[in-house]
Amino acid sequence: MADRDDDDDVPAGDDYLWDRSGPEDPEVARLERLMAPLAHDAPLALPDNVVPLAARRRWPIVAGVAALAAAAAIAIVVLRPHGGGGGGGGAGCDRGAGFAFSADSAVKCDRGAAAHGTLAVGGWIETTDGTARVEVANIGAVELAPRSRLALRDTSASEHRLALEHGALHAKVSAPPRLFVIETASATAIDLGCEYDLAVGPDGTGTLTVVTGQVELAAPSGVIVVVPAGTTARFTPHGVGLPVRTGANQVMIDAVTAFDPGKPETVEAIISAAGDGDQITLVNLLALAGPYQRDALFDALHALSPCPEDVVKDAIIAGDKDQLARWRESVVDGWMISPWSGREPPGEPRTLPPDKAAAWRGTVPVDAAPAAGDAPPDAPPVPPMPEDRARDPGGWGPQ
Amino acid sequence: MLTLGSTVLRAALATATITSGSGAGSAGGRLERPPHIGERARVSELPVADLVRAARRGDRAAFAELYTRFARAVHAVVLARADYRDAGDLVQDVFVIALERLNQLADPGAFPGWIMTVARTRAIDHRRKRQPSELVDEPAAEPVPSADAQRVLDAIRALPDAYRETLIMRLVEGMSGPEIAERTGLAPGSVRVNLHRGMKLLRERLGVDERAGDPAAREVERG
Repeated sequence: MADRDDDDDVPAGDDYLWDRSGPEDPEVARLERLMAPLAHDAPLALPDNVVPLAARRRWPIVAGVAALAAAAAIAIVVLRPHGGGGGGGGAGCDRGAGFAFSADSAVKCDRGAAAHGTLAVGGWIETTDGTARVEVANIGAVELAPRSRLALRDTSASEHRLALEHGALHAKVSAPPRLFVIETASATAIDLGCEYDLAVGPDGTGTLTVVTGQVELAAPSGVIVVVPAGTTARFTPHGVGLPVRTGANQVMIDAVTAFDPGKPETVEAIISAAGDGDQITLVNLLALAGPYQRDALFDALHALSPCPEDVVKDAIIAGDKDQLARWRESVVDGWMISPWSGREPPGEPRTLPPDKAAAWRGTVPVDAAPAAGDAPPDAPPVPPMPEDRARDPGGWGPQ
Repeated sequence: MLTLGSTVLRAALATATITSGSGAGSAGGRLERPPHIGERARVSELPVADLVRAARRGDRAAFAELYTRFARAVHAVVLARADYRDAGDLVQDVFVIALERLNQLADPGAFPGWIMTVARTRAIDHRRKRQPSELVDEPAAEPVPSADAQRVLDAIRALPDAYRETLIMRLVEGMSGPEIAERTGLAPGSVRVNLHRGMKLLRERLGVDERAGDPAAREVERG
């Protein structure tokens, strides 16, 4: 469940729905009576032989993390000048409150170097030849690859925010969505309950590969793509790229790399290259493309993953944000169940009578093509996934 | 991991349900002594983190208390994704998984959010692996929902994820908003917003006017 902070649209008098105080809401009460028989009331039936397993040893350093960093062709070297100046040797890395870390060899921190300590708010740690593990507020952990720097921006009950300044990491989190966030110079990964690999170079170019669950990748412009398990998205200082499934052919990868929302031919190239299994790419593209491309995009995506019954084609073409989000959620949910779903012939999508369609186009703001931009033509190619991930990226591969 | 997949198996295992209270048990974890009322009251008053720590040490009553507190929320999470007939078994699976992996939970206080994630993962995994023919061949282990209830459940399942689970917890499991917040680890304000927005969408989908209580014309007609 998404955690929200705003409640300004909750009217007064909603108390019965909240805690059954105040006057009874007839509809809520009716639904309570109707649905009560479905409630859970079975006792716990626990076999005697089920016991807590011994705590496992620390996660093995994911070989793919280092391989990802190496294969990315990103220069993951060089100490970045730190505002506070490099710490002198010998001082500890323990400033009290923060996230505990441990490493197989001494890491640099803003106050010196140590093999274990605390990553405090406003502080950073940087690995050299070894790796480090950072415990994130008891909701998960981050494994930091060699020659990588990680900073802690903030930690609170509503959000834990880190920053990968350069290098690579592997994150595994079990928490409510959007509690765990990792920034980079170019994009922010917002955890929705998952495990993923994140890498970024000093120029801000990077990749996000999701192993399980899904992650929102947000650009400073506000553009967001949803990256579910079994897909990889690139990002650059120019914006976030479209997620591409593991095993996508080079034609598709090239088409996604060349995507520019200001150039309709790049959208057409993606549509032409897309096939079964590319619905994640297409549904994210739907939100980023201009209205004139959405018609063809709608048909291409509908053929792979039929739009839900409550989604209207005219609204999608007009760029209605709620409708776009609804379809994206449906596609991602289906992808999480089976990346190769949607094989049944799609039915006719819902369309409006011409007069109502015109009303849609008149009242719903047409999305100006956002400056999502992908990398300039000479940007480095999408780095290949580490071999172990490529074989089975979390078990979501083709059946 | 033992998956409780049939009525017969569950009935057989029900006889092995732990019946007593605290601390060390036999090698198989089966406790013989019936609890004292005082002990039972003590378990029900313990904070979640303490229950988790006790369960890790083999205290089955502590784990049973965790089940008592969180089973409905887990059922709601499962019901948001899986067929009603499978939901009961899936809840048991989730708690078997939870007990086995309890030592992986670094912060016992994070148990609410953690077990919700375990439940979602299990429900998604079940749905991914289940073949359509199984829905026809297996006898109904649970009473079949009424047509109206099924229609409402389908409408709730079509809602965005943020609202789906919260509404099922409220309308099906009978949990209050504060209780939902406590059991899921979400902020009360967030739960309240999710309930309000979700209920609003649900009313629209069910064709009920929010103010008048009468069926209302839909804003968007089916094409």
